[in-house]
Amino acid sequence: MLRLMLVLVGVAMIVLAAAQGRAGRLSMGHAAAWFWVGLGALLLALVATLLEPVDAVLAYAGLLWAVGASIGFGMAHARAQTRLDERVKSLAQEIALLKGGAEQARGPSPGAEAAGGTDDRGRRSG
Amino acid sequence: MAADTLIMIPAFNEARRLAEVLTAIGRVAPEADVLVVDDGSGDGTAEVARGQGVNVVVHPFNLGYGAALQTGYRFAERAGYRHLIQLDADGQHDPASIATVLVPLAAGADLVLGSRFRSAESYSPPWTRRIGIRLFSRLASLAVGQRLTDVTTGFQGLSPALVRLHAESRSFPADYPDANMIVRAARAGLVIQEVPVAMRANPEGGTLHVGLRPVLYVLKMLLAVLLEASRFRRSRRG
Repeated sequence: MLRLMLVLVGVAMIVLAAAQGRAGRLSMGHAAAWFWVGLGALLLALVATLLEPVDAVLAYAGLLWAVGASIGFGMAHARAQTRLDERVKSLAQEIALLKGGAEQARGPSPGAEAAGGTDDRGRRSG
Repeated sequence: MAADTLIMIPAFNEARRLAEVLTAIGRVAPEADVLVVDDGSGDGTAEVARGQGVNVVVHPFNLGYGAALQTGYRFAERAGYRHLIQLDADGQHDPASIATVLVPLAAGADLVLGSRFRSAESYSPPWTRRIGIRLFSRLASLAVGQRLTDVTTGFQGLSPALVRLHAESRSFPADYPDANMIVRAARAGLVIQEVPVAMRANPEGGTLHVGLRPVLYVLKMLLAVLLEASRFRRSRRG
């Protein structure tokens, strides 16, 4: 029964990782975490079938798998969140710089000015 | 004061004291360009800055002190300034020390740290903060192989090389870029120097570090410094 559950969970997670990842509803980090967790469940079922360990060993292995899966999910989530935060920050900075006229803040280089260029910098006037 | 110097001030809800800071900067550095990065203030900080005729860049919402600094670096990089001086908007940093920071920068230093502990004119922070600053200064000194006394200072001078490094960084911290960024500069092979600057105590006692933030800050900064330092050691060996 436990083995069957592990196989079902494993297959479901791998299929979901592929489908959701392909559809762009999961970040690559999350999809990879789902895939490895699913593969872990299948490997656990395989070990249980081949070696037929006592229930206690299988239970410990299951626990280990669950802990590993949680850590994997946590790390994937943190990584995806960090990437998203960085993207939001970067976009907000770009908007601010564009609205603030960063491109026009300074005109010609000091060299060009020395050669007689105009100075259209955003100098302080106060 | 050279015209290719940008004085950058990150500001968040500093409308009440910003005008005084900008006026003081205008007195000591009339030739320099000034940029205020308003980090999504709700008290009219940007309007005060515009009223003083300086460049103003406004974040659409509050992004954090580090993000405000990085916006300033991006501005400076695009405009091609030769020197960048950054100081806080709350009036703690005396603009009269700008010239002191600029001297080593003009002589070729990439990062000039304005240290309150090297100046007799500076205030002495509370003992809890002093311990934190000393701890991180020791750690950073060990990591970069050079004695530094005030690695949490916001009064800094940066060369174009360092401005580019920070402006293009995808991992520049949005919250606390302190000792870890100094280690990063050293890792990039940049020259770091420290000079004495005058710092006043914040008259309203305001600081970034309130509530549980100091604890979070210490943990996060410890981790960040150790991470940067370990990368530093690896790159040195490589």
